[in-house]
Amino acid sequence: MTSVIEASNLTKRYGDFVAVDNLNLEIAEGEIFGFFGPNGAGKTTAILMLLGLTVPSEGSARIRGHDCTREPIAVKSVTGYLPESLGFYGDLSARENLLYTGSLNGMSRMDAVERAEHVLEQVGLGERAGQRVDQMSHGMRQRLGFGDVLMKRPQVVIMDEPTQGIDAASVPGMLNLITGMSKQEGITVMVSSHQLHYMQRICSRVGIISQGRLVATGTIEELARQSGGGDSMVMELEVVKLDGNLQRELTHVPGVKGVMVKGNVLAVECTSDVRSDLARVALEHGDGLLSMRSTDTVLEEIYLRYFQEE
Amino acid sequence: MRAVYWKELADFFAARRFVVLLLLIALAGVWAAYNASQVILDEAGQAPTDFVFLRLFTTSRGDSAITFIFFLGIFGPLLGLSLGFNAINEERARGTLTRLLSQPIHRDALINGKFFAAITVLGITILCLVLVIIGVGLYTLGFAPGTDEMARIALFFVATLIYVSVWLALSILFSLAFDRAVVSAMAGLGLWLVLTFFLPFFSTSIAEIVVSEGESPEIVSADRVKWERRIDRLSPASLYRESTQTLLNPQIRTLGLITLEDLEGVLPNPVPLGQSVSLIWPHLTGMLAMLALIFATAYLRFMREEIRP
Repeated sequence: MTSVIEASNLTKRYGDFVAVDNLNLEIAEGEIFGFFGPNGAGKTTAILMLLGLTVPSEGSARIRGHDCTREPIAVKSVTGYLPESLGFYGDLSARENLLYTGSLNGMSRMDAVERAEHVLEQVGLGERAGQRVDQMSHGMRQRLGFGDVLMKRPQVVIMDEPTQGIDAASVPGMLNLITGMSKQEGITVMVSSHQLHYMQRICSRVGIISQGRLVATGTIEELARQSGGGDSMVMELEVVKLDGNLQRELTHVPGVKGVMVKGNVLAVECTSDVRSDLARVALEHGDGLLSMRSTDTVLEEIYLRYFQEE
Repeated sequence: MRAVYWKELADFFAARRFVVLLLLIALAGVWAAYNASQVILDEAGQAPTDFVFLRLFTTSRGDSAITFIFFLGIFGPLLGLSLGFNAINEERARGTLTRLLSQPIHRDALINGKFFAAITVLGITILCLVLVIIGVGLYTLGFAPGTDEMARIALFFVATLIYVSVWLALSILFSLAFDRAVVSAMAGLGLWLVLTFFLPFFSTSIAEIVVSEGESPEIVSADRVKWERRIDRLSPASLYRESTQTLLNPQIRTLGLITLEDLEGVLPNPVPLGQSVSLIWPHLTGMLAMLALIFATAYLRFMREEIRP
């Protein structure tokens, strides 16, 4: 897979303080990469260096092959950035704000109008296109922020706390938007957030940064093993009807250490990722498999484990 | 830069504070020009005299010093300050600075776009005011200005634009130096008060300290006046006042100290335009240098600023 975002020994110092320390990172095309860490860990500084808004003290970064320091215009023309609190001109309407973004991206008026209408529909603000932004709720502004990012037809999107301050009912829509960007439009997404339970649903790979250093990268399952979660993982299989035969068959699957029953859910402890085998057995010997999910690889736990170690 | 320029241009013309200030200056200017035209008519009847149009800008009724150039000299800086005091800090406070700079534009496109849009607005505004005064003159005096008068009015326009732009650049610099728009506005107003109203008082005191004794009381007085002028000319307000008075009053033939000996044998004829320009050339270049220096400082500061969302 082609690396779309690359950072090589990326370092930023403010006097004696090292905000980002030798960050090495590669994010492949179409990935949704979660970039997590506590406040002050260096996430935003790293993002700003990737966008060419802050000059690194050492090292380099490239987005789509463009050097972030030497070719910031090329980088910014393919990268959309959604900061935690994206500002809009309150006296302008949602459409006018997007048209301004279009003009900053060199779009013709006609192209910008067409794109703005499409994007506003996409983020669910089609009917509010003419409304002044200062009369919009926080959630609507956040959706407009997504629209603003999509306006330039980006190949890469970097987001900082995209679900912050949004009511729980609107979050699934936001997450769908992000996964839609990645799956339907092939956009590479780098997302930074403290709301790990939401991020777990969408991230294909994550990186954890602490005190400016990237302490871990990988899939959630890989990190679970690396962070001392042991060799075992627990898979929860929700079945239509529990059958003793199924429980017995599951224990014979190579890699399975044990099976526990909780109502119509079977908790299977296994030493490796045997999800395909579990699904096959459940379908062959059960009445139907409703869902299967990993329970012990909760991102929050992994995250906390890294910081407990420190 | 074009996108920023057009957006800012539209914003400036729609800004309420700018429209209010402009109306105030326009009304006061028209009132001053109308009064001047009445004085001219009272003095000379309907007969045209030399450079009578220029007197519209410099004449006041009775002892009052309220002329059009006085209004522009005093309130022009407020126009400049009103267009720049929140140029950058408001973008920062609103969160739009990061949004703008994460678009594919050079960083200087933002500050340049804002600066040139404001200069365009100031240029259009001052031009309209000058045209209104000419209109008042045409209506009340009943004849058109001559070529030399038009050339002097055009140069007056240029000098005014440079002068107001100095204050604009200063307000942009303050909008970078202070996080809150209200603080940058207060800093701009404070400096305007000091340089326009208080500096003449300070210059007298400083001159008295610097020149305490001399060969004769006349020499001491002359030296003090020289020092006062040197200090006064640190202020763009003083440079503007002297240059516009020289341009609009062709009788002025020197900006230095005049002795009775200097006036011996001098014919009371107006000086040609070229001579007036050579008299104010240092003033114009001085104001341009101030403008360039202040804007360059603001530019460098903005380019080196750490951008945080």
